[in-house]
Amino acid sequence: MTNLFDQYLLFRIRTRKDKQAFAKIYDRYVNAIYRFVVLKLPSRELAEDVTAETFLRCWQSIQQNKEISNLRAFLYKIARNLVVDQYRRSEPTVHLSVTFSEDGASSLVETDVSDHDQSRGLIEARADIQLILDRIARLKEDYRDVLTLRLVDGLGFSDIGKILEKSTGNVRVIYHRAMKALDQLESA
Amino acid sequence: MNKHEFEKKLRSIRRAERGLTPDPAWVLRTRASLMTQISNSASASPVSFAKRFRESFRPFGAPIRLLVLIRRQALAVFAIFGVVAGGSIMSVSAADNALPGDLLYPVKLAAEQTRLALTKDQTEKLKLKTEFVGRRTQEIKDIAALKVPQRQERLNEAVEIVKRDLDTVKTQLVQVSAQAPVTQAAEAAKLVDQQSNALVSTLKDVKATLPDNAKTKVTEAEIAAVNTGVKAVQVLIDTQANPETQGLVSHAELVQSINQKMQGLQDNVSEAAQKLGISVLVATSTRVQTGSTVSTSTQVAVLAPENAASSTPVAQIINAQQALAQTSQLIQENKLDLASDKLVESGKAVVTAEQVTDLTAAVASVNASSSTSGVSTQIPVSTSTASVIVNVTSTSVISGGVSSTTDIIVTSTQPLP
Repeated sequence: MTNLFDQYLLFRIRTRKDKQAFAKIYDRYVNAIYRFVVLKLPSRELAEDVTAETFLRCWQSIQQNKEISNLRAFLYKIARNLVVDQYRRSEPTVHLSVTFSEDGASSLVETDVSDHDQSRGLIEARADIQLILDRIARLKEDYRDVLTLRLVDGLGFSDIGKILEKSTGNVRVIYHRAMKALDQLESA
Repeated sequence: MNKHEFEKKLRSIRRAERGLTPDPAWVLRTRASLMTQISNSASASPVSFAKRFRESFRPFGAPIRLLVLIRRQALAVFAIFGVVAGGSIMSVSAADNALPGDLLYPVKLAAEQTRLALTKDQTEKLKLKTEFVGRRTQEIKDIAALKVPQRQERLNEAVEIVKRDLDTVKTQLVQVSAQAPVTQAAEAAKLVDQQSNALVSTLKDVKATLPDNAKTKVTEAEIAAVNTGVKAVQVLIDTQANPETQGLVSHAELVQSINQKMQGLQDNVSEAAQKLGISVLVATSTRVQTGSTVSTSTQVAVLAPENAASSTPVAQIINAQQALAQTSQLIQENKLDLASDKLVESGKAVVTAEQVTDLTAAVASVNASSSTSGVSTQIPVSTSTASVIVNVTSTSVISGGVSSTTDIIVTSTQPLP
């Protein structure tokens, strides 16, 4: 039903130039995309920029009449590419965890209590992700991508397939092989 | 980090992720700025018709794509429909063979009511109801063949239902004859007549297999069927005059139908008389007088014990027999409409006679059982004879004005067995 509604909104944008339909798409996905990127980027500001940029790119793609069969997966795909771009642009020597901690500490000073809790959670989660990423870093790139999208971002196989441009069945196979490889890595 | 820790970390990440929300002020700011940006980037020209047409085929137009999009929802809807409709269709078809007293019998009746409710046309409704009467007939037959202790109760229930249905058929027949086109009314009436004849014949067969005390109920249904048949015949007689119904039903067929009913009632009268221990004798004489005047006289003699001669059942039997005799004469005189009226009269008399007889028998049996524990009383059995002569109605006239008298002599010559 979600996809059907998304397709309806896209249809409205394409045929009526309905900006409110795009506003609806933004309202539906802004939180999810923000969560998706905030754990992968060193600062909240960067995450906010990437989120805004994701929607702008989406609008441009719609204007260019690109084929969008699954809007949700399409947005994740844009966001993921933007995150990758961010890392490519950033200094390779800067260690992620260090940057996270610094950011967390600096934000503590100027935010309220709930923000404080959120920031602490953010720092911990980022540290955890780093641990997991370290753990699966030795795996093949395909395995890493599927595991991250599945385990960290909690996406469905069909969405992961759309993001990585693979079939759902293929993603499923890769995921199971990656889990097996992870176990073997651990036992070795 | 072992597997357990790994999973724990994953859970904590998910938990942290759920708690992460962007700053609401930022969300609103970004929304506004996005809207401004897209307003600037979008061209002001309206979308061409060709593009709209193409687009309408993109997500919704192509059946396969649409099917892919809605397959889950469609499957869910189909599954729900399957369970609901499939379940009810299955239970309705299972109820098809249900008999009165069965758990599913109300389902069967409800299904029939639904079919009736979905039929708009009055004539079609009547035909459908008549078809259901046919089903009731079969049900009575099936119940009579059952070897269960509650057979009598279930049979009574079935008879009540068939009586109710016959009443409805009669009411609908009146409506159809008043409102529907004459040919349709005649067709429907013919169908009702045939069905009622079939019902009467089935009920007679069923009655033969039943003990005496169970027969009265079936007779009631039988008379109800005869009455409905008579109503149908009356409609047929009314419509016969209309040139549109020519060839649909002949005069001979009508006479045959009335004769059949009369014969059926005659059997009932004989049975009732037998139950009372009386004999009914009928003598009809036809006198052709000078010119074109014909006079017919019928004598009905009832041989009954003295104590029973003046009782209600006997009087009713006399009435019934007399009405039948008059019917016969009216048929000869070609007064089919009056003949059918007489048939109804006779039917009513037979039912009353049987009911009163049963009641009397029940009272007698209660008296008999109470006497066993107390003072012994003997039911008086008279051996003397009585003779009752009833003078009734004038009959006949074919083309003249001479009337004859039907004498009914009620004489009792035999003691009660």
